[in-house]
Amino acid sequence: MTAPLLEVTDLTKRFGGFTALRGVALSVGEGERLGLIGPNGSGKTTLINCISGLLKAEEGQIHFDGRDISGQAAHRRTRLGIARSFQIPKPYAKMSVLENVRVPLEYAVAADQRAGDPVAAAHDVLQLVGLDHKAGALAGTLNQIELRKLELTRALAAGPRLLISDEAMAGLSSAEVDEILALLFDVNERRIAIIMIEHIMRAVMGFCERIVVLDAGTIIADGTPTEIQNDAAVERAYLGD
Amino acid sequence: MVSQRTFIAAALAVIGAGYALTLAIDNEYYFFAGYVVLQFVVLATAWNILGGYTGYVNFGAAGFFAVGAYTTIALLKLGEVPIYLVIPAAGLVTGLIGLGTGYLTLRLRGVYFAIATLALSVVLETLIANWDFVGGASGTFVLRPKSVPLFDSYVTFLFWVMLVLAVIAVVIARTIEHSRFGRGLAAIRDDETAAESTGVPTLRLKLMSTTISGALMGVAGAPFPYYVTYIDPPSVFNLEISVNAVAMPMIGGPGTWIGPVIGAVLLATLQQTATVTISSELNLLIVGVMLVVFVVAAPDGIVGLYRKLVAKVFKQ
Repeated sequence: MTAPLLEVTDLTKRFGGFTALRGVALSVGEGERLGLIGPNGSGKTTLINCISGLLKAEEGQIHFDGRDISGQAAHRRTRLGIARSFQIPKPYAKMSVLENVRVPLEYAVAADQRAGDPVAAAHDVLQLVGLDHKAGALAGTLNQIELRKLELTRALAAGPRLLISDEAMAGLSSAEVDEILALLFDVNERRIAIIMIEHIMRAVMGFCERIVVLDAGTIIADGTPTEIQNDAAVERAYLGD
Repeated sequence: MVSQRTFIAAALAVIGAGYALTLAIDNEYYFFAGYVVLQFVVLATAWNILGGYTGYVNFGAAGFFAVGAYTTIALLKLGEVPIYLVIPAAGLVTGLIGLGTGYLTLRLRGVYFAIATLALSVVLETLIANWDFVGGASGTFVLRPKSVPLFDSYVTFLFWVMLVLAVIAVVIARTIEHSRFGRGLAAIRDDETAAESTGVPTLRLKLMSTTISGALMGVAGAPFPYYVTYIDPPSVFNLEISVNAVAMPMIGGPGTWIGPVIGAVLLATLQQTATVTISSELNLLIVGVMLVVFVVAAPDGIVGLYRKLVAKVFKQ
């Protein structure tokens, strides 16, 4: 087996006296589809904030593509190939949808790999996601599903090798969930690994090859969707004794 | 969009036309008043780079302006330094102060950053007021050269110098607005966390923004001692200057290069007119009332109103 794309070892994150993550270890292979689930407050978002660099963990290391990135700023990690979407969409509201996508194209993609025409490149990514008809609109005027798609578009425009999707489907209708799932499968086809955080079990179970369960800051299960569904510890975490 | 080359040609034409005006119009008062208007074009444009483009409100514009003015004083105390060296020197000093301020305060967001800049202005004023070399609290006089070649009077010359500075400031602002750098700043303004996550080196860009903004504010203040011939700390560390620097871009349209130009020309002209017709005491009142009206009724300023109107017309 080759070395994993992302390797998190012994990660501990505290907020004052509260330990949000305790000795978390996690690895993601090249092109893998990994689900990250757990009850509310279990530390899922904290974990990906540590991976993407918005938070610094007190202990532990994060290796990406064999390189220790524990001390690197978030924008550097994005440039290395870790892109993410946010649970609550964070559009650049006063910029057009096209400009929103242009930012990662111009900042996250290495200078020598940048497209000659950033506008055309932005249209290409928007087309992929099916948001191109909104290219000229101000991002602040988009509706919920469009905002979720914009989050993913911006992350994809960064040219990632690992895409972290933080509840991209929360609050969407069943048909819209299918639309986002199809999009993520498309992305995965191009050997982009995906970490999916989601509460919609149908989506997680159908999409992921492997699922990691987080509860109260520690990993309590790691296995295939079927294994997770039959895991007693997971059931306890969600439903109580 | 007008191309950069056309825009620079137009900018040069403005500078040329300004010079022609100094020869064509005899009444020196117009240039005396025009100088103030242009000075505020520079200040408002400078404020807009950090406030409008990057989203950080600086309430200490007067501090930067004043340090620019006092750089001139300090250099003139040292020797006969010509004005075309004094101005870039002032920009250098206040640019460095901008960089330092940015480094110390940019971890603060929103209102806390604004308070810190206000405090900075007070600190700088205290330092200058206790520095005897530049006149301390009692102020100091500046002797203008009797005449300058090619100009009728020193005031018309200063008017033209400020026009050149205003044009340079606007060209810089417009260039930033349409550049990769400008899009990075806009991303920071709209959502700093998202900006960082899309690869924008937010700290570095913010430092560049505070530096450029600070430098241009100092440049606006550098010729001021020649203009008034006597300055003391209260005359330059003046709340009116800080308030104007915020109000003018807000009223004109923050985040666009033309916004501060419109706001400064409109407000400063109103103020200059009120000063000679009614009373100079009215100036702050005019700004205050207009700022309240605009913040409530048109948060995107005159430019925003215009864009809404255009959008409406095109929809029909």
